[in-house]
Amino acid sequence: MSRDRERFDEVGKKIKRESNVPSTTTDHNRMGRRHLLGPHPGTLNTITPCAACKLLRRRCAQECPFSPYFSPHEPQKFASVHKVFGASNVSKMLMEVPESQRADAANSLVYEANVRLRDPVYGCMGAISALQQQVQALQAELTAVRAEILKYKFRETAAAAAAAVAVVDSPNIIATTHPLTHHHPQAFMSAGTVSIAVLPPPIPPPPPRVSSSPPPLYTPPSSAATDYSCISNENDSFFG
Amino acid sequence: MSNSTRCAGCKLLRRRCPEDCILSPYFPKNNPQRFLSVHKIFGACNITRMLKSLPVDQRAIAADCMSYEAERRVEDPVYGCVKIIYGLQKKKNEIELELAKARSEIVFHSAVDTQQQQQQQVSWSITNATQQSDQV
Repeated sequence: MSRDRERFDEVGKKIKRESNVPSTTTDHNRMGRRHLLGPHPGTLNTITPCAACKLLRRRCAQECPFSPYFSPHEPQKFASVHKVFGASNVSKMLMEVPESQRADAANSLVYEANVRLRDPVYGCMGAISALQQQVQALQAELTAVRAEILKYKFRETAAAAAAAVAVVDSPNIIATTHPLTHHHPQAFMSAGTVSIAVLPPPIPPPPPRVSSSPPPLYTPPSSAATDYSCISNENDSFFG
Repeated sequence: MSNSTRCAGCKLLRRRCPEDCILSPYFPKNNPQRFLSVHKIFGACNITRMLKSLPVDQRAIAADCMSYEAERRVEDPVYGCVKIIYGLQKKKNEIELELAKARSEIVFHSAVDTQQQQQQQVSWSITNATQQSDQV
């Protein structure tokens, strides 16, 4: 009886000792370095479990392949790729590419996974197909508008030519070489009111070119297809 | 099920291909490369799970789309088919900008055209008035 009690006491003491003792190396690793939060927020990702290790409930090692690209502040990113591709496939795919391109690879995988989750049947193919249709429709509209511009320009040119011809053919233009003015000045004076040669007024300067934002009258074509441009990643500039 | 009738999926995974194998309609044995790509990118479990979650009539389309995505990803491990999407989005933005410029030009030309037509009418009326006064 007393031996059992001693044993229980030993076990109790051991448990108490283990819960009190802080800093052994194994404890550090076991606790996932959470307690090592330092004063530098920029290194947070490397000293707390990344989103992948958090989801997979495992130790986030120094050489964790996911931690640079799946921050613990954005758990949804890894959740999407894990659901579609699986953690091991993502890890393999990231390791296959050079380190300088892994961020881009991770972001494109997240994008693809999100599109697939949004549209489980067509995935990225649906996005490509919708965008191709939109591009075709816009191109057709642009061609039609340009044809209309050409018609206007042709009409303007024709009108300007007609006006020039009207000026030349008008009989009431005062000309010094006209024979009537020399021989019959009174006839000239009684020729009637001189018609004013109507020249087209000076064309006002064209409006300034639209630089980046379309004018208010432009309405984008409505499309029934899903708006895939709203699926965005943080690091969009990697395709620049 | 004998070895010769195993689908590409079961052949690669080295398992028996049952009669109700979910992969066999979409990954026939005559095209092993197709399953190889999707297995490399998505994994057999994920493919099976995703196909099972869909209605039967949509599984063929889904399998084709996943094959396409997997093949693009194998060709371009960094961007995959996302590069195509971004290229199309960029092209769409460019065309929209061109269209906006063209529409503003139409507005300008339309205004000029209206003005010219009005002045033409004025000149004709003056000419007519002159001719009538000459006849008188």
